[in-house]
This record gives sequence, C-alpha cells and structure tokens, in this order.
Amino acid sequence: MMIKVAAVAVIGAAVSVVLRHIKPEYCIGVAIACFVIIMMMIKDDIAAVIDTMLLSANEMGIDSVYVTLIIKIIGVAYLTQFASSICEDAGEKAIAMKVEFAGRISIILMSAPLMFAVINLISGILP
Amino acid sequence: MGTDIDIIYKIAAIGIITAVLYQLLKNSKHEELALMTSLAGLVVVLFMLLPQISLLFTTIKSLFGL
Repeated sequence: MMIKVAAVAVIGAAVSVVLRHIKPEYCIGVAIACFVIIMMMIKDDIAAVIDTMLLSANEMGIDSVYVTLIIKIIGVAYLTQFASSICEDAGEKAIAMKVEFAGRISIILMSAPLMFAVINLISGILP
Repeated sequence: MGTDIDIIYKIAAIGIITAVLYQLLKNSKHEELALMTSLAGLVVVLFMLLPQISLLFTTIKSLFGL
C-alpha cells in the first residue's frame, strides 16, 4: 500500500513539473487527481483505524459520543487541509488562509459543548 | 490502481496536446482560436475531475460521519 502511495505521489510530482513549464493551469488538476487517488487507496485503512479507536474506547468505558466527535473533527481538519493546500499551490495564499480560518471556527463550534462541560466541571470542583 | 492513475496521465496528455495546439494556432495568426483551445482543454480537465472530487467528498463524508 505504502509503495503504491509513494509511486502515485512521485509520478504526480513528475507530471506536475513537466506541465508547469508548458501550461501551469493543469497543475491543480494533477494535484486534485493525486489527492483523490491516494485517498481512495487509504480509505479502507482509515476506516480500520476509526473502528479500532471506537472499539478500544468502548472497552475502556468512554462514551462513544466523544470519540465520534474527535473523528468528525479529524474529518473537518482533513477537508480543510485539502482545500487550503490546493489553494496555496495555486498561488492564492489569501484564500487558503480564509479556508483555514473557517476550519478552525468550525472545529471550535463542534467542540464547544465539550469545552463548556469541562469548564462547568472545574468551576463545580472549585470552592 | 491501473485505472486510477490513468487520470493523471490523461491530464498530462491533454495539457501537452493543448500546449502544442496553442503554439500552432498562435504561429498561424489565429490568436482567438488559440485562446479558445486552451480554455476548452481546461474545461475538459475540470469536467474529468468533477466526478473525482464528488467521490472524494462522499468518501470523506461517509468515513468520518460528517
């Protein structure tokens, strides 16, 4: 699996370098195609990792709501990384920064209930 | 895998063919045709990528339960 991922990445980089000199518009296309191919290769492994996380959390008696939230946040971070790195490769650093900012806000919004629960717990312990 | 990596080669081929056509049309004094050719190549590549992007987003959505 890892050999395949490395091969796809190297081939994509070589194609992108060739295209950058003659037609720079196509570099984004090559980058997106590489991203999708690698994602399709590793999606089963990601699913296995998530299953293992959920299973071990279940054994330890942790509420599965929290683990699901963590997995969702990982997904949001992954999407943000994808969009931001594509924008940055295209030379649009401003758009990339905005995408990252939106991702951060979205993650804070998703984890706000947990954050407030922790703050309430601490303020309940304090005299 | 054999069919997956084909799309990178396809994009590369379309880019090179478009570049050649662009140069040919530009040297034969057809500037607007050259511009249209390069635009058409870009649109073709984007339409090839559209199902891929949709596949990526649906996979991420179902994988992380978003």
